[in-house]
Amino acid sequence: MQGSAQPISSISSRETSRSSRFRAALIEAAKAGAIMFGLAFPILAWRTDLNFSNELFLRSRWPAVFAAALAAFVIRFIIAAFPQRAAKTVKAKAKAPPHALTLAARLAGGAGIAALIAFPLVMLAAFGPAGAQKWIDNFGVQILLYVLLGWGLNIVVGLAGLLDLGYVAFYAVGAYAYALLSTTWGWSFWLCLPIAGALAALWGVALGLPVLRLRGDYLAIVTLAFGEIIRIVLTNWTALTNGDAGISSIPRITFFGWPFVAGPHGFAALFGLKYAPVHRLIFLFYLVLALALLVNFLTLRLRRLPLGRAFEALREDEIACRSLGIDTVATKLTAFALGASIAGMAGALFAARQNFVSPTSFTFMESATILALVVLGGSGSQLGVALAAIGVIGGSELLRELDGLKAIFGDGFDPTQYRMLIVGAAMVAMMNWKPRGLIAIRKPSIFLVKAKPVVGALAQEGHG
Amino acid sequence: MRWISAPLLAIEGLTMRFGGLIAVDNLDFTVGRGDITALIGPNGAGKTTVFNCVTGFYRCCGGRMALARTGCAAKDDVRALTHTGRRSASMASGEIFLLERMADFEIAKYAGVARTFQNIRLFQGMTLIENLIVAQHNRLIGAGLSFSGLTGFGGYRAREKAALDSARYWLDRIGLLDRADDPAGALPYGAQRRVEIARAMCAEPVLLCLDEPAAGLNPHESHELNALLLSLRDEHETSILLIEHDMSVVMEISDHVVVLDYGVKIADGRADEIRHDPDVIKAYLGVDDAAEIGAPKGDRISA
Repeated sequence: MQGSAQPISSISSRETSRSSRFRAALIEAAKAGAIMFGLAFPILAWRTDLNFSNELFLRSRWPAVFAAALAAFVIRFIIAAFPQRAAKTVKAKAKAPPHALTLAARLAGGAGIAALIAFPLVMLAAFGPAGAQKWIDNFGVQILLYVLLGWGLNIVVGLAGLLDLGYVAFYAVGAYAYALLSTTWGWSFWLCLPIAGALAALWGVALGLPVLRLRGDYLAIVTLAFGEIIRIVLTNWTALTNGDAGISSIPRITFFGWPFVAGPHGFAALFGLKYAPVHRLIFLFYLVLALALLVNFLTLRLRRLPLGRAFEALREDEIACRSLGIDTVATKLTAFALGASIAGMAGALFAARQNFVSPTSFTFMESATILALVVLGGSGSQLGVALAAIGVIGGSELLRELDGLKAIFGDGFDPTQYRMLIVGAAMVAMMNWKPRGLIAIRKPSIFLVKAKPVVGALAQEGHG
Repeated sequence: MRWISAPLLAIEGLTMRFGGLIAVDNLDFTVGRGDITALIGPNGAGKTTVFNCVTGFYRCCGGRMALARTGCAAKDDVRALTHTGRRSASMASGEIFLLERMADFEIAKYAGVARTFQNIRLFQGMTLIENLIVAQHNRLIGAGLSFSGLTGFGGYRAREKAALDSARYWLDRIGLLDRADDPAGALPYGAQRRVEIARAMCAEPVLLCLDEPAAGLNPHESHELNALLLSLRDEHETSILLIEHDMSVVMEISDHVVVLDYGVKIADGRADEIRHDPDVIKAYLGVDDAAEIGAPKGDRISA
């Protein structure tokens, strides 16, 4: 595609002589290096440390400062000296025919589902019942929970275009609903799952009602506040929630009534298997997977129904929606309630997985992470959100597995500390490379002759 | 004189203030069923404000706007309905809605008023066919239909097919059937204007309000627009209320012209009466300028 539609910048850059371009790039790079030096100097150059007699002393770290400045210099030079690679115009990208991409997306979707179904069994075969636990739980179940959350938020942000920064509140409502109902009255997980969803949906409407008239930044701020209110209430209402100490010994998930325990009444005995804790995790994995696939199926169906189309129309232009007789109040509330109910069910699953909930699991960071999944994946794209969840959540889990790097960087090196740095850098890179997220094409919900994918640059981002 | 004998929309004493600014002041006029009614006036005369009041995007500060979905908005019936405190009722003269008592989407949904916007408001990232299907939202939505659509059983599919047929018809009418699956935002400006009209027509309105439909169109396109609007009136029994600055459009197709200046009605009548009305010429050209130029009155307006 780049061959046929040459970006203008590369043509003009070819006309300028190579040496003058390099000189300009050198100047640019020198500036960047100097700025980085100035930034790194107060942050990196000195570090206070304790010596053996417990006295503070300043330790200089000049190599780190120079390394940072040098890195900035080199990166800036490369970007400036080879503009064809860096400065692809948005226009050229928007013209790329996305037909092939949707086919690829469909194939990837099918392969992905197959891989997900096989995942626990492969892990079991590769690491044995004990070794597989970590992989199935930390990678499998956790990533799937985030996929579920991402898909829930995708309805609100991706389809309806309502920026919700307090989404984790509904996750908390669902988790606490299961935690409280099961520990207080001993209600079973299967009863609590729909109740958690319904309660969260109720809170979704409760949040939706006062913010209906708000748009954009204002809506974002109020939803952010709502998320914090829920967390603070959970922290301070100690009589109900036990405050920061949280609620522990929440009943673990059962196989439709048979608990995953050793002994004659357990799941293993029912199927004549040798008891292993991994059974519970495998069941949980498939449960979350089934719920996620159901949510995905319903969302894809919803997109092709008038309600889903009204969500997208709302994102595109709310005033036009009202002029066509669409009840935007009811539509927005439905979007909030649907998104919230998915988060509520994910919360119940989360509580059943952890068998412990506390307000620290529901901070703003979580909302931001889930929103990041939607933005990185491509607003409105189910597959994109799933891929982003695998990348971001799987990636940060993977950092824990990189202990081998200690051999290179020394014993004090802890890769997990670099998590946010890496996520941040990935965000910046993504927004430069693909400002609309990984999958930035929109498949029409209905067509007359042939469904031609719509490039994301045309779709609106929503205003509220 | 259908606007007197068979008023579809009767506006009485409409007033809209923004703080200290009176945008529309005690305005009375009627729109006849089956007429193309043009609302004209210099910039800032309050035309779009009237539109926004009629379509419910502004809450008017005072006045009455009665729309007859069927029949006509007879004075006695409108008065009787006002006293009942209800917003709509089937009266002897027709099914009457009091628009000032309704929210914007209700006016579109129940009273059957559709509109376009001065700055085009299409769903840019959605295809033409999607735009036209969204316009038929209220015919496709409902608890039973949503269930039917989710599961694939029941009557949803037939309704969707009818909606598709309607959308196909309107795309054909505006000559954009071959672009049906292209995103609206990728269309040229003139085509987007036509799509907005087609989208409004998909809602099957009794009154179509067009806010400067010819703005930015070339002479050929505005000629086509004239033909389209006339056919909407004649073949689809849709009454049209339009704001327009292009006098070639206004004079050629309007049955009835209402002229506003500074929020007040200064003239009201047939197009040929209006083009010779001294008040209108004064409002458009300023009295001194008109005297100075000494041009024939009618031609100055149409220029």
